[in-house]
Amino acid sequence: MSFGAPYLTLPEFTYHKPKSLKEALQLLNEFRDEAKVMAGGVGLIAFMKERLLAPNHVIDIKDIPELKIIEYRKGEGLKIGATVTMSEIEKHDIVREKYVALHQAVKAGSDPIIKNRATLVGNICEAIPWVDGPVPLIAYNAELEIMSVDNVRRMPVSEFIKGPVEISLEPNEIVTSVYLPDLPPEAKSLFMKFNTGSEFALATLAAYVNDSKKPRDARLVYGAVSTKPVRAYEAEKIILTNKNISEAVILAAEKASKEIDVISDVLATEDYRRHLVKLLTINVLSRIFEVG
Amino acid sequence: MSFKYVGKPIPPQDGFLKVTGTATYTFDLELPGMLYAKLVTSTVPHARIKKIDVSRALGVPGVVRVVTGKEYPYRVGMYAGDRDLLAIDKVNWVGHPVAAVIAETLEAAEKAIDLVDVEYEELPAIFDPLEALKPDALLIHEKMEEYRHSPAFKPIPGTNIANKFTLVRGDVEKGFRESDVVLEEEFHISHVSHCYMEVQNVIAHYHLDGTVEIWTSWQNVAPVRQIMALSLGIPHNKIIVRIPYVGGGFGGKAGLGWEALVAILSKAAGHRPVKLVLSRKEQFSTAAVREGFHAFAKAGFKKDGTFNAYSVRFILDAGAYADYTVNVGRAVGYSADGCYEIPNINVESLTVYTNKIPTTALRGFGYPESHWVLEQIIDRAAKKLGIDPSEIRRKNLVKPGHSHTCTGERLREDAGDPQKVLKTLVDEIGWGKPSENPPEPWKVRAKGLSLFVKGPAQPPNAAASAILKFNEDASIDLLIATGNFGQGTVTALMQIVAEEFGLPLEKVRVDYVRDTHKSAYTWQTVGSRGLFTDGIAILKAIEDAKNQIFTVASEVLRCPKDQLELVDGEVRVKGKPWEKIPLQDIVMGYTYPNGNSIGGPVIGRGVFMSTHTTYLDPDTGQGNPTIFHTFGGTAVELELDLLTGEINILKAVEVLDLGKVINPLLVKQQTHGGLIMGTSISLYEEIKFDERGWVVNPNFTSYYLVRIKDLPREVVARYIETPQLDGPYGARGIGELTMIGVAPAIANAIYNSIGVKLDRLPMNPEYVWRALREQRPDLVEEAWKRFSKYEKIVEVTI
Repeated sequence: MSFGAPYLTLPEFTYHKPKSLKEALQLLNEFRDEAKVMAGGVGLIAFMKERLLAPNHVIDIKDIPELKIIEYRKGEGLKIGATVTMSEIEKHDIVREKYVALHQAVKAGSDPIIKNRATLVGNICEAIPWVDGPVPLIAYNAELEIMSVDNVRRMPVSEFIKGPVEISLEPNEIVTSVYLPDLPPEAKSLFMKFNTGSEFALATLAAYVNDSKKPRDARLVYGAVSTKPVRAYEAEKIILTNKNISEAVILAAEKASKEIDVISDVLATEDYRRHLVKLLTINVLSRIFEVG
Repeated sequence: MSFKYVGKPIPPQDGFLKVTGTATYTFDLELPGMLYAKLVTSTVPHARIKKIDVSRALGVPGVVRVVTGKEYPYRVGMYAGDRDLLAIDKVNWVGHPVAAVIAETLEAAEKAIDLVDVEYEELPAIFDPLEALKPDALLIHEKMEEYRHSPAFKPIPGTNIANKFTLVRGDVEKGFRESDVVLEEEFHISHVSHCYMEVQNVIAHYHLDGTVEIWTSWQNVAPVRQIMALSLGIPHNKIIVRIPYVGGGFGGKAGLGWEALVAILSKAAGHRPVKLVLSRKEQFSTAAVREGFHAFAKAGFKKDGTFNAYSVRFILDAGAYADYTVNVGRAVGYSADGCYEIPNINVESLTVYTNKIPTTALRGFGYPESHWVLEQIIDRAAKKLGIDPSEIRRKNLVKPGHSHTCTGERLREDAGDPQKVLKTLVDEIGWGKPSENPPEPWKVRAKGLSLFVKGPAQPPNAAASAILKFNEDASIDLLIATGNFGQGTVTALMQIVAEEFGLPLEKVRVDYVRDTHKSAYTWQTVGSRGLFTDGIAILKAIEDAKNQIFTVASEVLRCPKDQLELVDGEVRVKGKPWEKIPLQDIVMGYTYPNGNSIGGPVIGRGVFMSTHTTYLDPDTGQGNPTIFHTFGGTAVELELDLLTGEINILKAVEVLDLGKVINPLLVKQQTHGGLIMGTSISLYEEIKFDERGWVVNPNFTSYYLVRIKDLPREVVARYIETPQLDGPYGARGIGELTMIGVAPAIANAIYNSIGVKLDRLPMNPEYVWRALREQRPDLVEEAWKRFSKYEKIVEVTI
């Protein structure tokens, strides 16, 4: 035994690169726990280098055409395939115009070299508490499409992520796409992160409001503050029930910073994170409601 | 005087190969039959090793041998001599190598380290140097008296003190009594890593005939050979140390690295070459980093601002091995007075063992630490006395030619112009002119100053030499051991050679490999000394070569030597430029038309030896420690977010009195590089330990380095050229200096504007946020009101 995981090499594995989804699902069904699915590999390879994972089989899904699709359909929403990279999402017109919080999260996510490899679905499946990707998706009530050789199911992102590196996925299942519902034209969404002096964010917020003149729907999702993204339901209620929205923004911020689960870790203490939650909330909601 | 090369912005000589990815680093090298080594490291901070079972590891296919410390119980080191190759019977930190696996492939070696079973009998661990200093503290080094340490140091066996440095000048108690204002302050600095791009890696080949060949990613060849020879008992000429291109050092590759260990591993593995490459994780847990630091200071000032008395105790948290850090502790001690004249001063600097990662030099070598303390004290005193920070500095600055430093050294007349440094700094930052108001009213803008001075911390007899060899076409091979790890020194040295011979720069070549067998000796390239010491040696070698050339030319041209000159690659008679010989007709010997020849191949040699430096008196710290002092200053204008604690540097000014700028392009790059590193270490970098002594952020995802977005928006660099008459073209060193002033300038800006004291590094947002809340709750409250005040009441339909 040695301290840490000082490795320069990867554990041994067999590399597979199926050409179709069917072939990938069959391979996965065959190897199950012994296999891991790789999209961009940004998370998986790092985990393997740290020996947190040591799969005997790596199934690279990058050559599967149907997983490369990013597509918007009016009335249905946006579908992002499992191997669509962060760069491709960032450059997508509909994402930039309509799914603003997602665009901002992807834009602020990492440096361009990583974005050329990293995928949004991979980002969700890593389920590292500090990552940005899942936060706006939960604010949009996005769902995942999950397939196995004999089944297709859908599940909200919020339920899929159970905790740090813990997800609702059977050993023979692949997350094939993420579906974002279509948004009403008046809906507004924003994402903001605090990561000064830190590679990972210390706190993030994705807010979704429909709409800013007559709020019926408000979702505040905080990332990087706890073991998984958390919603501030009480704060959302304040937004939906106050006529004076300028004041409601402040009250919601105070509420959110108190109501949600927040942890201390190597990056920041709980105190500081709660404080950042308050600042992020005011920053984001002030912009959404244009209170100045 | 106008020059063709000296003073010109010439791009670095190795830039092309580096940016095209074709420069060869040790990391790239593979030798035929080479094996791979991997370290097994301790998982506990302090324990006796009861048993090491290597049998399972030996079962991994491809594993050749597993070596443990007991087999090779050598002690190695540069100054304190306290290091083992592998833990001998006790581990002293989490990450301490206890065994090394040697295998045919790296994969096999990495697999096998998990199968080496080590049984420990745990001992209480000491993580706090103040605890380590208590009289009943457990000893981390039980046999300290047996270590072979340099005479410049005072280890205290029976304690955890690796070195005690004491300095006494004047009467500090009387000084305090006669002061009008006395301050007492504490300061702290966290451990940081060098974060060079190329991790430490070594190839060693212990040949059957007893010759040891080393390839290493290190700063200098000479100390590697010297320490290996002394500790392993191998004659110097049987050790050949080679260093190709190096991906950064910053002091972290000074002294000795893993070379002795890997040489032993090569011998143990049947004399096959062995390569050891550290992972980034090991750089953060097993390789040496910069020490943790504490300072307890008391300072006395007179009403008029005169700095009258200073008493300071430095405690360096050196970790498990203090081999190089004892000298950092000494340098912190004798640089305590910075660039001020302080008549009464007492310094105690203790380098203390703890059960943490070992420590070593890092760019600045104790001076960033001493200036972090002193330069803040100056500002705090200024505020108490109601004197402007620039004025109190002006008043107390040393005067070259008159003043004595705290070691009693009289500053030479040509040591530089600190007053001009200060004036330039103040002018460039617009001192006294208030900053513009920030657009967001919960932020404040502020300006801060820091001065600094530094010379190389080296033994008094640290020499340098140069050999300069002409080829048939009058091109030159310059054989020097000057370390080349990104500073630009070698380019500057080549410019000097081309200038002196009137040859095109392309005619001068320095090979990319430093080699104990082929390069002329230099003690080390550290402490910003390379250009100065090696430059002087090269100038002497040039003089020697010129003398040989002129001797021959004088016969051929029938003209006294002193009437000859070298211009554009020709020896000419002064005033009669048509009477000349091209250099290539002389440098291999001159041949007359009939075949008679005189002279011979020209080889110039030159040395640098400091004649006035001394050891420091062990009781009073008095003596001459250094060969030059470079004065400089940093000023910043920054914006502080009172709600988040974020510090954003808007403008940074660096002023240095370099004597002579040999290459303005490379000096500017050094300045920018130092500012970047200084900003990173000031604001963000910190190795964090948990209660078990584990490093909890041993990678770049949780150990943050500045990104482009974190850097000063505007950088102004100004150079003053007060020549040091014995320096090459009057030049002094610069390499480390540009980062010394960054941290105190930032802290001073904040203290000056809102009175908040920032005592510890790094000044990351959360720390600053806490300090603001504790010290200025009123300001934070006001900022919060401004931030949370909405412009207009917006109503929505519910």
